[in-house]
Amino acid sequence: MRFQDTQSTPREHDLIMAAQDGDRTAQRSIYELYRDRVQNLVYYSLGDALFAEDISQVIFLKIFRALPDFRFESALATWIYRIAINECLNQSRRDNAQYVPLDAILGSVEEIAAADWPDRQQERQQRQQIIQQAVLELSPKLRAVVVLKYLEGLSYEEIAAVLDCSTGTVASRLSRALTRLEARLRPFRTVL
Amino acid sequence: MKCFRVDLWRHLSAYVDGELDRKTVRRVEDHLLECNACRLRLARRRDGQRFALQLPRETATTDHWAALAAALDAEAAAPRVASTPRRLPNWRKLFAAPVFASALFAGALIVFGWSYFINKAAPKAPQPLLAHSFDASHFRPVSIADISNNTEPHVVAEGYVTEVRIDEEDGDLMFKLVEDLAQPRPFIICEIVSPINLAPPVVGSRVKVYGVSRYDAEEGRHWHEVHPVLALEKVHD
Repeated sequence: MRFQDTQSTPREHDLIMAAQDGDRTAQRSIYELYRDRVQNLVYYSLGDALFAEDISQVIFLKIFRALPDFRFESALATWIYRIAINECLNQSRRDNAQYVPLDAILGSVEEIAAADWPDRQQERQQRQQIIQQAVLELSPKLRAVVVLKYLEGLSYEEIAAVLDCSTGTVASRLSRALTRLEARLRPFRTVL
Repeated sequence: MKCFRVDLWRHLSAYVDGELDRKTVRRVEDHLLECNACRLRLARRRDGQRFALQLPRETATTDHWAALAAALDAEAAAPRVASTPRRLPNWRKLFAAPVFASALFAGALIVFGWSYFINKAAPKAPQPLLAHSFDASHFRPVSIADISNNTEPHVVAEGYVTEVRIDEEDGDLMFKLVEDLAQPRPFIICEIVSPINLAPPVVGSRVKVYGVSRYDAEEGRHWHEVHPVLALEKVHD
């Protein structure tokens, strides 16, 4: 399911107020609502699923510590994504993550085209793996806009609020990201 | 024929995503009618978007709520202290200043001294932040000398603490763990990352360190790490 509406609904507003008062049930609801979204964002920012789980925990601790200071000046989703992105960028700066070239993992274009894909599910997984790896080869800033736009379904304006930049910067980063993705995946175009 | 309408190229992704206002859409479309190069650019952006829309979602495999609730309960039960001041935007530059670094070092000494005093004055059982949540059996025991052969993400390593200091780059607390206090090698570096506020171990003490096994390949480092440290347990010889 893609995330479309970042405005707090009345129910979400009540949930936040209760969570701010320390209601563990409300906090758990927020955790469950955002757990996968945060995990998704962290995974694509850091490129390591296991490490992403640990960092997600750290992010949620930060979220719940800071929640009493949340003043409803932005949507909760925007605020949570901002905390998550900042934590990921901090981690990326420190880790100097190195990415393995796509061909090294998946083989050459000819090998992929010639490979037997016995069923549709495996074929779909292969396609997704190719795209996933290509996205992970983008810089952290470009990855962040791709995930926020195409996985989380945020508008340019909402992404700008998360990243604390202008919509022009969002457009420019998305433009570079799409250009690089297309160039990187052009050899696989017939199978993707 | 080459096209130099850079002002319109930058709108192509927003055009593909339906994020342009009507007036700009009209400008882009008028140009596309007469420019083959930009039609090719648009087709490539559309392909890029098509690929991006196939990106698979990653979902969390474990429910960490119990761990988070335990950590929040522990914080709620602890006496309230003054809130942390906001970081200055250029704090990294401040860290680089010698006067600030000296002040930081002096502050760290006071904190460690105080922590040591508290530990001596009132010895108590270790209280790891995530103690209630994790199952120690999920952490693979590794010796410091053999950590390079480890392939598991979560490990527990035991050794003596020889150095405790604050990472100049990010302000995280680091300590060095060795097998033998008389031998500087082999060692691993352990990092306590904010907001996992574990009390720093005392130099010379023997501890078990639970956390994520990593290798720091940065120039000048090249060492194995437990980073972040998820729990610490004092071991009595």
